[in-house]
Amino acid sequence: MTQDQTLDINVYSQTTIPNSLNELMDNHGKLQQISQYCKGAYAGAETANIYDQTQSYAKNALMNVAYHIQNIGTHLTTLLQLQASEVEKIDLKVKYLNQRVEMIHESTGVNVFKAPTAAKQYKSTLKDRQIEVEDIRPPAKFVRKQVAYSIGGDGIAPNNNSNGGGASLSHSQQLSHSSSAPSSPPIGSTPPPPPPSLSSSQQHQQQQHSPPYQTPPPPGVSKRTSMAPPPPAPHSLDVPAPPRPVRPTPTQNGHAIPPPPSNFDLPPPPPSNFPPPPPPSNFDLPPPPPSNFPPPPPPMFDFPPPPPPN
Amino acid sequence: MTKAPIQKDWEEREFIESVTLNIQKIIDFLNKFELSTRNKLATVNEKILTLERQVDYLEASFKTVSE
Repeated sequence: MTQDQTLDINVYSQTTIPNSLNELMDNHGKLQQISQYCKGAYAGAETANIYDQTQSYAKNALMNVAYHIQNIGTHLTTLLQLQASEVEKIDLKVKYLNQRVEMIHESTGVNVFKAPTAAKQYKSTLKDRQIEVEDIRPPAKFVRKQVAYSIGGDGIAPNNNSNGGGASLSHSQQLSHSSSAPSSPPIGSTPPPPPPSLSSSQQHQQQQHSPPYQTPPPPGVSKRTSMAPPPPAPHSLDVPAPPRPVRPTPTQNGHAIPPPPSNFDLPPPPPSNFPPPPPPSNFDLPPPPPSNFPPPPPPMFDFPPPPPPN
Repeated sequence: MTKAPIQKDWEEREFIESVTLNIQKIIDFLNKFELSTRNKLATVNEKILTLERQVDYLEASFKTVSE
C-alpha cells in the first residue's frame, strides 16, 4: 500500500503534472496562433463569418484552459495529500523509534545521566518564577502601612468607638493636651482638681477644710440662678449621685465614668445637706460662694405653682 | 429575417461579458487554489522539519547507545 502511494507520488510529481503543464503551455501557443489568424482574417472581407468563428474559438479556448487548470489543480491536490499522508506515516515511525530509544534508555539506566541537563533547564525556569514572585512582593509595603496606621490609631480609634471607654480616653487626652500646652493656660488661677484616686467622702472632707475662694463671682452667676433645674447627675455605678456634676475621674472602682456634658453653663446644684463641691479647674464655672453666703435657693419643685392665667 | 443591429450589438456585448465573467472565475479559482496549496505546503514543510529534528535526535541517541 505504501509502495503504491510512493509510486503514485513519483508518477504525479515526475510525469502527470509536468505533462499537464506542458499541455497547458502548448494550448497557450495554439491559442496565440488562433488569435493571430482571427485578427488577420477580420481585417479582410467576410467579417461576419470571421466574427462568428472567433466567438466559437474563444468559447473552445476558454473551456480548454478551464479543463487544463482543473486537471492540474486536481493533480497538485492529490500530490499534496499523498505527501501529507506519507509524512504522517514517517512521523509515526519516528515516534515509534523515539519510544523504543526511551525504553532502551530506561532499561540501560541512561536516564540517570540525562537528569542533570533536565534539572538545569528546570532551575532556569524556577529562577524566572522567583523573580516574578519578588516583583509581586510589594504588598509587604502595605503591611508596613498597616503598622503605621496602628501607631497613629490612638487618636483615630476613639472616634471609631462609640462606647464610653473610648470617649473617656479621648476626653482625658484632650485635657492632658490642653493642660500641657503653654499657649492655652487654664482659665482662672484655681488649684488643680483633686486626684482621681480620692473617694467621694474624702472629697467632701477636703472641700470642707479647703478655704473659700476669694475671687469675685463672674457675671454669669445671676444668670444661672434663673435657669432650669440641673440635669441628672452623670451616671456612675458605685458613687451616689452628687449634687453637681463632678469632674470625671478616670477610674472609680475599676469603672470608667463618662465625661461631663459639654455645656459649661451649668445651673446651680439642687439643695442638699452637702456643701457645694469644688468647681472644676478647666471649666468655666464660678468659684464656690463663700461661707457667709445664704443657703442656696430651694428647688424649683418647691416653688408655689404660678397663678393660672385669666 | 435579419436581426436589428442594436439587438446584434447587445448579443455581442452579452457574449463578451460572459467570456469576461468566466475568465474572472478562473482567476478567482487560481487565487484560492494558490492560497490553499501554500497552506498545505506550509503544513507539510513544518511536519518535515519536525521529523528532521526528531531524526537527528534519534541518530544522536542511537550513536550513544552504540558507543
